[in-house]
Amino acid sequence: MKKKPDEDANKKADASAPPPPPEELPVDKEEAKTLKKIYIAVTSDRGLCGGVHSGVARRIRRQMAALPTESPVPKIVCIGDKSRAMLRRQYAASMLVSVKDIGRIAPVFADASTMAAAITEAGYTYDIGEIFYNKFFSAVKYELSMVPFFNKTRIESAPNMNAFDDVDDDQLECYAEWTLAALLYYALKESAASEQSARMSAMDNATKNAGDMIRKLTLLFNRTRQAVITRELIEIISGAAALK
Amino acid sequence: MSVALRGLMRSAVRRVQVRSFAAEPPKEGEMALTFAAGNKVFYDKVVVKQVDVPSFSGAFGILPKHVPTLAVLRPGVVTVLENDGKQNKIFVSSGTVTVNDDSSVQVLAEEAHPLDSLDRGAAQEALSKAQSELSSAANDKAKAEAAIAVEVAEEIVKAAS
Repeated sequence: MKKKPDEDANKKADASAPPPPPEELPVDKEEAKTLKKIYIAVTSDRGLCGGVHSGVARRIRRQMAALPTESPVPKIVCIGDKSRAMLRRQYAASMLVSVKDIGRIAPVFADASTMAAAITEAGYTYDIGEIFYNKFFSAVKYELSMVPFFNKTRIESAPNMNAFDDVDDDQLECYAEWTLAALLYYALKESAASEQSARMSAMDNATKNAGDMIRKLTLLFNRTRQAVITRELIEIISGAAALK
Repeated sequence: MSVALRGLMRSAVRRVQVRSFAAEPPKEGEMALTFAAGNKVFYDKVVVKQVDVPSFSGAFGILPKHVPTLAVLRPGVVTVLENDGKQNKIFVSSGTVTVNDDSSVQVLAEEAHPLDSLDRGAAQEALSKAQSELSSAANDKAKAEAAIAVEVAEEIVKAAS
């Protein structure tokens, strides 16, 4: 898989910056209007990790809104309950497959191949698919990225395909399906790593914010305790004085 | 004393790190191999002499400047001839191989393990289990799955012996 050159331009943008221009796929404009697309949102079931999931959902919303009106409406595949919850109201008609029970344990290849099989079996003949996921860079940095995938006929008609040796039809189909599974696996792993690191920093911030409250409550606790002790002392002393 | 020791350790760690880095970027006419599986990355853009892969269109060897091609891996042994002449044999279950026109090779496997970590006894056991599953498979899908399991197990047994 080759890295797209315009991915770098995208990297500078963060959540607060103006939205980055949608990545251009290497197809001409006229053709792009009639392409049938699939968007795959890679998220998980679990929250409490900052804006990891909402970033993916927001990006898909923007992609859907930016489409020219005459082009076919893309289908959406939601991996993880979070993206499904965020997208299903608005795009109920476009939902193709949704996958849940993601994020409790680390993803394995079998998960990815099950998803790829489900997407293939859903029966939607797409031209281009785009997988949106969070790419992990470091413990404090992740970025929303996209990898494209293509169906068999699309690969056959690719301009560079002439350079390649003859490939059997069924082999190419197998190759395309397997590549989808491998790309999904990659996206799942990257997204799981970014999610965990985002969760770590989100929880760290929560602890920091709680510090103030903890200090206030400790003071209140100590004062109350002191008050109780003082009251008991007064009772004992006054009792002793009354017995004299 | 402890400072000296720490310095020594640090230099040792650095040496180990330097050694583990991949070789220089590939030059013209060299073949950069990327070989990864779900469980491990074996080569990351490492320049090698030759790669032999088993595919559904027949096993083939890849030398530098091979014609660009795509193929689907079948269960079997991938042999990598490294630049220093060392031969590395790795068993793969399935996957894809891509030869790009810049002579870089990408082998992606579902699962891959070096030959010496295969256990012949366990493979034999898996083979007989898969065979019994194949004979008792009820529908076409289960039959196909069992047939794949038999094929993989047979190849593991063959590779491990």
